[in-house]
Amino acid sequence: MTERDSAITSGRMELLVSYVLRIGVLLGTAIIVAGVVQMARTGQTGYASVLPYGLGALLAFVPPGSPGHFPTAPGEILRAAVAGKPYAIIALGILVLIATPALRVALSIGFFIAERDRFYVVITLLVLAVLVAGFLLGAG
Amino acid sequence: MSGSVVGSSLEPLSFFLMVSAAGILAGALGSLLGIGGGLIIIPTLTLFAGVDLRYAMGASLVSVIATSSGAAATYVRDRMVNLRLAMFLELATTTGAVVGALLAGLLPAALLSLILGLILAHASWSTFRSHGDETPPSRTGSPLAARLRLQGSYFDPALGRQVEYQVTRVPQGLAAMWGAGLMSGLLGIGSGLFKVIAMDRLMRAPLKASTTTSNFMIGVTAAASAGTYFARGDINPFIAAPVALGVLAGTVIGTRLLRKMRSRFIHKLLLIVLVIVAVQVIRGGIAGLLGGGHHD
Repeated sequence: MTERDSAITSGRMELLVSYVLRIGVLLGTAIIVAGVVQMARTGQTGYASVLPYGLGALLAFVPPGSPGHFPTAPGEILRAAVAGKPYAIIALGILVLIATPALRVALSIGFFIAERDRFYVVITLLVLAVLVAGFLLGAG
Repeated sequence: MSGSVVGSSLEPLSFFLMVSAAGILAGALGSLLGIGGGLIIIPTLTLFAGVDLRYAMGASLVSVIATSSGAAATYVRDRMVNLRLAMFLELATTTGAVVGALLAGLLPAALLSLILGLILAHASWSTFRSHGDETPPSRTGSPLAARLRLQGSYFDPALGRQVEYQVTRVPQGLAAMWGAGLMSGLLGIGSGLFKVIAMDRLMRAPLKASTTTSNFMIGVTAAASAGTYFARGDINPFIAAPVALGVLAGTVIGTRLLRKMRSRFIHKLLLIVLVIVAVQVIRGGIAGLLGGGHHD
């Protein structure tokens, strides 16, 4: 592979990384908008009514079951989002946004493979491992 | 502090609109300067909307991730981002961020704020004294940087030419990045600004390469600790939604501005932000030390 070939391949990979970021952002945005629209339409968060409680109750730290409650476990979020609960839909959109940079790191491995740069393939794998460890530690 | 929100007489709709507007500003400024927008999001939420600091920090992380992905899509396509430099330094930032997220609450936050503030104050001084050249004076990079292939080049539309550059002081840059990651995990702030300074001041990359590469990186650093925040329930949908939507709209503006702007102007903007954040963080640190006990 010549220098020029490698530059063209990595150019394509850059476009791919850029597309993945864009798709993640658009998907996340669309899901969040859907959640907000659903909340505005129904006046419910899926766990409480928005209006009777007002902003204070929605933003206060509260135990589950009270007006400010929202789901935090991915499985619960997915189920409740499918069931159309506005807060769960918004949380799902936020999760998509959070996952996008991690996915981008995974894709960068392809970029460095295309560039035949083993050192950076290893570096990228390490970064990905730290990210996964971070998620696991957070979930634990 | 739980159970009630201080001084918030806002209607849910006004809150949503106000936070979206703050998000637009944070996204535009963030994509220009390579920072996450916590600078705008946190005070807006805590001071004007009476939101608890824990939720404000969660929202700030969402803002960082949205700024990063929103702006980096454009910057990667335009080849402004130095992918090798980003990935190499991310090794340090993500490790620092995970350690920071785990230690949050165990370390004295006030003291850390004070240290962060003093570093930022020093960076402000150093930025003030530099000239804000369009590109750094040409120089050969360090041998280590050459071996790691950290050099880069990009087309600057404002200058109408290709900019080639080398970087130096790789170990110092790496150490600063670990600190940046640690701070973002611990305090949820300052990581983007730290990264820009480390690349621009320490490693001597051109300012536009520093801000766009930082932009690309902050999303990954934040994602490393966002899982922890999310699972802990610090990311409230009612706050996160307007923040994310506003910020994403803001990045569309910011990325257009960066293309046309001279580095000289971005340099001035960076200096202003540095000084404001340094003062804010130092004040917060001192107040925390004097106040003694923390709420949580």
